[in-house]
Amino acid sequence: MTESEKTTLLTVKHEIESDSEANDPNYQHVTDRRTLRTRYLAVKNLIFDERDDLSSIDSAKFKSIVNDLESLHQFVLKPREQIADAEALLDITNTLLTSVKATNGDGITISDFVDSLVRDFAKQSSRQDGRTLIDWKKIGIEFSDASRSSRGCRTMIGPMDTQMKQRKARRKRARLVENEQPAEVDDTDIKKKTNTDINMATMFDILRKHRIVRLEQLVLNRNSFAQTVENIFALSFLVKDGRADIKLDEKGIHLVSPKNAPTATAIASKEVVYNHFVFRFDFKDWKLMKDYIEVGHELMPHRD
Amino acid sequence: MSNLGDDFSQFDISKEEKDKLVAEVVRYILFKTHQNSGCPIKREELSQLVTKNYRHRSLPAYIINEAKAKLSTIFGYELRELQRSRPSSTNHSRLSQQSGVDAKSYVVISQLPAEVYKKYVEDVNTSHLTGFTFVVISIVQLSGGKIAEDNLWHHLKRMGLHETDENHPVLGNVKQVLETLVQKRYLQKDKVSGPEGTTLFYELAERALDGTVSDRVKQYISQIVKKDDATVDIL
Repeated sequence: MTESEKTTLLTVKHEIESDSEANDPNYQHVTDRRTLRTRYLAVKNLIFDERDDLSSIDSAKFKSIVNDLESLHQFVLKPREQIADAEALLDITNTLLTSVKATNGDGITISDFVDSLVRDFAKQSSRQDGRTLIDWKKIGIEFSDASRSSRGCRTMIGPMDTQMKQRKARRKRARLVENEQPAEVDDTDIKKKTNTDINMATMFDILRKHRIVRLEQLVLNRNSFAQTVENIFALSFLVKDGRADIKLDEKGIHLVSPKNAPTATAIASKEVVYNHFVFRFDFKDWKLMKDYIEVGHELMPHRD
Repeated sequence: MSNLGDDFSQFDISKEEKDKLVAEVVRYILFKTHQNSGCPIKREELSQLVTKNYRHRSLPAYIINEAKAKLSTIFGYELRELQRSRPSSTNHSRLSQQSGVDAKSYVVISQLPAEVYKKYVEDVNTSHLTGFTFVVISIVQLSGGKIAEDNLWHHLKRMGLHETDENHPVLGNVKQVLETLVQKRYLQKDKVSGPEGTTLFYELAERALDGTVSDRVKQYISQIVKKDDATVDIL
């Protein structure tokens, strides 16, 4: 292939490319984009290098950098370049922000401050190696009320880092005696009468014998408060069953008499209904009752 | 706050239990402050004292508030709450998604008036550290809240402090003292990757950004600098 043919081919190729470029208005050549990003990087480096100079009002550097950014911005089409553009803008903004923060309105620079410190607080004696000695203690005392930190407490009951004591694993002790088991209770008698039933029967017999008795006489057990209460309990069952009758006479004495339990039909037809009342009885009442009844007039036997 | 005071019955604990919890928290704060030499105490640690035995979710907050009140009335200490500040470079990262709430921490500050504190309370044995703290915070503040490590040492050198100095007559190992400032949350370190590689920056952290402290620092700076200007004028 001759040179001219090669050139023609290249031209045709370029024309084809530019045709496609012409067809697609957003097309940007890869190398162009790379160049653009390189230029952005250059601007960012410039911002970093010149960061100390950027903050003054008539800084030429600042103006030129901003102009550069503006001109580069015209060519940005794709996301990668947009990122580079945004980063450059961020860098210059940050630099400016830092320098603005540094000016506290009085335009005091660090050097001024350090100079003043050295002048005010340098100690008189100078060391052999010529270093300045600052009286740090004095500065600290001046500044103490700004931090005003407290020191906390040092004395205390028990150190802060006490750990929980691990329980020691105990050896199982060998048994020194043989195992003993209590004899099992033989529960064969189902129809065993409860103590209450026995008391009820005893009480009913007494009622049948005496026909009418005083309540206190019937229930009191002079020697035992507990048994008195059990007697009252048995009496309450008799009353519930309808087999005992408690009446109040004119003098206000309670009288108990036996009677037949109501028939099933009477209960069903609601002729007989339950009535409740509270019989309050405590230790003091029992003591009073003991004085009320003469010795030997209690009716219920003492149960051991 | 008075509402909280009446509502502690909602937590289903007795007054004695509440008092015991508050006492534990107060004790922890006082002793931890001494043990840490003034480093801030994390809120999580205080909450843990409560949640160790009690499940109610808002109980730690209530107990901490009560402890705050007790410290103030009994000891004259203010339990100041600081929000952990993050280095500015992480704030600017594109993918920054702050994970949850930034950790809160507490420092104990004396509520005494400034002159009384200065005269009676200030421990002169640690004043040199306070002085160093002040000077470093001032330098960082004057350079916009952020300063490169070499820049900082450049200024400290003018005051006789070198990075490699381990036997300074007053401060001892200077680099270590600077490190304690970071631990106490006056400063924080930040590695920034610039075009020339990573540089270490020192930034003001939450304790130095706290309103009272930073105002006083500014005040003292102008006081110190202006004082010299004034003497110069007179002369």
